[in-house]
Amino acid sequence: MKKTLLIICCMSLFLTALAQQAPRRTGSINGRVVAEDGALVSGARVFVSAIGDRTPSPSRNIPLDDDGNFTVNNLEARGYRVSASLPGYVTAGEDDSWRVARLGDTVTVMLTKGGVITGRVTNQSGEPVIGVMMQATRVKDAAGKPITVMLNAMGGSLSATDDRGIYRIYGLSAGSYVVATQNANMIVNGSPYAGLVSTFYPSNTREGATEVQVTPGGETSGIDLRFRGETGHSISGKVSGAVPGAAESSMVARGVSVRLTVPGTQQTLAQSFVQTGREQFGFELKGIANGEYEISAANFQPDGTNATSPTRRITVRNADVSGVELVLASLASIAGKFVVEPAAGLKPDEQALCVKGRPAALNEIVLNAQTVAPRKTFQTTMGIGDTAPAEDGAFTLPSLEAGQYRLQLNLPGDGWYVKSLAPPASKTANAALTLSAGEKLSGVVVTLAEGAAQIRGKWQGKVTGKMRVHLVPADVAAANDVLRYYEAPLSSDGAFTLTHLAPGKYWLVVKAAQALVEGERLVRPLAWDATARAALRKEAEAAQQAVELSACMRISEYKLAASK
Amino acid sequence: MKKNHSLWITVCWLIFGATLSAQTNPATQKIGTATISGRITLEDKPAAGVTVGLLKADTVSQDDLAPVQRATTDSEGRYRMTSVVGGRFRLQAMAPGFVTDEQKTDMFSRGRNLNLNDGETVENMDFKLTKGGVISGKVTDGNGRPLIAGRLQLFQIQADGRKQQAQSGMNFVMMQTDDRGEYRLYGLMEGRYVVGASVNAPGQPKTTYHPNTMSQEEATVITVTPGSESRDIDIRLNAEKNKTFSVTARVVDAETGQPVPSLGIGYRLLRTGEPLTNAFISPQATSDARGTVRLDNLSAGRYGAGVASFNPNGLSVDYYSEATAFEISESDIEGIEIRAQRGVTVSGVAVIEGITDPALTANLFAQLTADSASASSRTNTPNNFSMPRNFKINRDGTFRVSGLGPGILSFYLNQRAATGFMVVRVEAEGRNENGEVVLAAGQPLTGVRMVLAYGTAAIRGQAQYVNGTLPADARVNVQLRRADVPARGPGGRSAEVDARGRFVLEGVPAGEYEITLMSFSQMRTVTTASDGTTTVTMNSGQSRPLMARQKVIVPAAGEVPVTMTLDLAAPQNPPKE
Repeated sequence: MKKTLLIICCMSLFLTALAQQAPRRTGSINGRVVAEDGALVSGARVFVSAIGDRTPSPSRNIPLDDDGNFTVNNLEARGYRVSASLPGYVTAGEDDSWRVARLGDTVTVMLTKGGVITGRVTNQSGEPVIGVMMQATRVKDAAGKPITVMLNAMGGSLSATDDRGIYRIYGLSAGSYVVATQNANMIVNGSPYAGLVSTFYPSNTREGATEVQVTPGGETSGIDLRFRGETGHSISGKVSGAVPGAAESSMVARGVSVRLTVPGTQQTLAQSFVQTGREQFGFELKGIANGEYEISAANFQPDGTNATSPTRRITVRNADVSGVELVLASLASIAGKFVVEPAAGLKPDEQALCVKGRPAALNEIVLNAQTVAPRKTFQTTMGIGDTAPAEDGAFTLPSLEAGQYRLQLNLPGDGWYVKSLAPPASKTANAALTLSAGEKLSGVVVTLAEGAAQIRGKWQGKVTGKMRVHLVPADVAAANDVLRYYEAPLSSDGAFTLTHLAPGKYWLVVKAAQALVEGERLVRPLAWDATARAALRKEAEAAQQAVELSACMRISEYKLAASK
Repeated sequence: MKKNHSLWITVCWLIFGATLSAQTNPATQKIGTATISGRITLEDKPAAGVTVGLLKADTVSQDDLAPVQRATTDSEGRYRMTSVVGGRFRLQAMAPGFVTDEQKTDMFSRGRNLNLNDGETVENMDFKLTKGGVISGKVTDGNGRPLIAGRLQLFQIQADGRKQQAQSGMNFVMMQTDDRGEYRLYGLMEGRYVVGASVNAPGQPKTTYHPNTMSQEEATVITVTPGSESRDIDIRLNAEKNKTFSVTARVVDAETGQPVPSLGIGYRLLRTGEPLTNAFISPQATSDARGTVRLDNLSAGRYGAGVASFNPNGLSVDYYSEATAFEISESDIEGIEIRAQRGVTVSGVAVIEGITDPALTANLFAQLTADSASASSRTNTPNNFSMPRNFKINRDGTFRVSGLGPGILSFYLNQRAATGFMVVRVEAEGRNENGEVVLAAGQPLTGVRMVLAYGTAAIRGQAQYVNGTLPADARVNVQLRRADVPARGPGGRSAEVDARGRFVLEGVPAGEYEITLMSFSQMRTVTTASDGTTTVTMNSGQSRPLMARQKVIVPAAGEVPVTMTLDLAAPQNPPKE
């Protein structure tokens, strides 16, 4: 009898899986763009792009109605990134949650008025410097934490001086900025300042730069500079190695950028972008002052298979530096597939629960690879690395530097949990993957199982600051299985939702949220670190808040008592 | 603003002809022996402290936007640049906010061409500057709120009343309103202007002209004089007429009727009488897995749409299409069909005439990059059009190019990426009565033999102008054609003639050539009176170029000096037969 049930159950799940695959599910994402200052946002643009689309991104640019509402119809079932832009405004409330929009979701994008830095640039005789490009690079966020991730190719917000020497850089997020003239000329025809050493506010070299504070929506004026107009020195050399796109006719694919940065940061001081098609080619960065620098080259491919050179340290001391060799090498990648295993041994009531779930397809999964230990070096590749598997579950995470990684998964629907992660034997260390430089690791199998449980609940304690609820496996055998640990943020009223949970016995515990690691976008799960994991389990055991989850169980009003 | 930076880079590279292949030559520590000097005046008085920059003639990389050498004028307005290494340059008075004489005749002027030899002394490279004028104001939207990051449009009214777009749009910051809706256009040459603004959105939003009209004709004219500032040139956008619509189209394979995913679709609002083929050069939207493509934010008007020759990642696609026309009046449109045609594939082998050693051929072909050759096809049907496709010639000479539409096939070599090479002839099946190779839809063409010539000789020329002086706006260039290469089709070579009448054509294969010197000017008409005196009148109409032709024999290597004489009083030449 039991066996028959199991077979029926498996078959029904199998059939539902089949049914899900047959017709393409389409639907819409709705949302609203709201400006914190109540400004009309009908002029904002909403961008909806499918995550992990390596073919040309069908990023949609959607107009809003007068109230700031938007609807995007006809979307295929995928994970989407939704963002909005309104000139002069910035996205509000940078938080650490992983925002993925799926069909049927309603998304609210909050915008806030950006800050302004303005001032005047004059030359040594006090006359206006006309048409010089100005750059403001955000070096610290509003909380004073250093910014370490390059936001865009230029690394900062740009403006240019007018005929009075006045510049105005707007739409800035709150934080601390370094303001300088740009030694490259991107926009002004006949600018005499291209190739001259950047002058940093206040009228100084980089070492003498003073940070400029920008408050939310505030205007910081009087950021005046006296342009030094020094010729400086040049750094030149050769880029060679693998340019994956060299044989492509695409301009983007063939382009190689050489970037000079402040050591240990992503602050770009000079940049050269070369359209190549040759196996090696020269570069020259002009207008470089004496000092210590880091230099690297990178080639960005449309499909995400980027190549970078190791970062080199350069010292400029009263002379040009030549003969710098930057060798591009293609980065490592992780490839594998997702497979779905039907739940086994379900009881009839469990089974009834299980079939109620929202439909999900493998290509709606969103994943990325995160280094196990916080990075000491800075990310040299652009983008945030999220990708999605194909319809058959095959995935590739390209452009990874050497290191130890864990996969972070954002699962669609509510029926799946991660059962196991089986990398090739030599590569595994408790579901972490080790990559050497340029290694193309394949054959990673992520097994998802049907029958995930879910807990919605409320913590009865008082929420102070950012807090997170942790679900810790009570089973000793799972004590070191990172995949059995779950965590989620508490909202200000203590509410939480834990989804995609494997059935089993767990302990619940609430802790102050771990700080976001510099340069990372998502909170690093506590359980990733062995010591923290052991401490967490001990603490959870002591808290004595146990819960037993059966397959597909939906706990909706769980009251989590505050520990004494 | 942040979001736009990568776009800026792309746009800049499109402007600067990024299809060129780069080979910068840094670290050449060679000390030059040439000298350049001159004087800069501002309204006939010496202009002190002005930078004069010497830039590479060809802007290949971003680095080339910085001068290779610079000098600053003294209190007498004089400058002197010494130790210059010979080469092809542009000499530019770098004075943003001011107008140079060159800009008066060519508002997009990027300096004076200068082909410089080592050891030369070039004097009197003078520049005349005038103070630029300023137009400033504020742009508000339909609700009276400041328009942030709105786009400005500036048109200069020509002598004949035509309105020509002024400012190349290079200075994005200047051509955009700030966070208070304010703008300031500076460095404007003397003249009469109309100024307009639009929201900064894709899909060609409509422009409103100062003070509040959609019609350029009804716009208030602003007169700019040297050093003047026209303030409060405010623009209030007309909200109603900026309404935009969406168009849903389906891209299907013309043969199978099946949807075609991942194709870049280009579209454009067409001006009256503008051909449909102008519409879809660059991709602006992409077809999804079901072939559906949505074109958002379109203003009312007549559009053309079709398959672009490369997708938004810049990769070539195998499809082309005819243009699909549609008109938006006051609602969204659905059901537009774009029929994508699978292009013709052409393959074959390139050979170099006179070279039989495969190793030598392979070495020469190894220099060629992925964009050094391109193929295109043309027909006489107005809507049937396919953009050139770049391709690579492999070391063994084989090549393959796909996605071409039916029509007459042409191969081109990118002069800078394929230095020294020239297409002599193409041998293939399927020629028409004129000897041209014709591609038929759906039929791959194989076994094509592309015969190339290769050489390292150079032609160094000097143009002499007699019976007059060149008009200020004259652009002079030379075109080179080997005598045995058919007049129609590829195989040419061209170079600009510099301010001193010099030109140089490098990497020329041996053979007998015809050089044509051509001077283009929009300002000049010559009339010869009965007494033999000639009068030169300026006009703004398009006139035919003046030409001089000459034969030249180019040896296998070395330099050939050429002197060409252009009679400025000659009647204007009819176009070449």
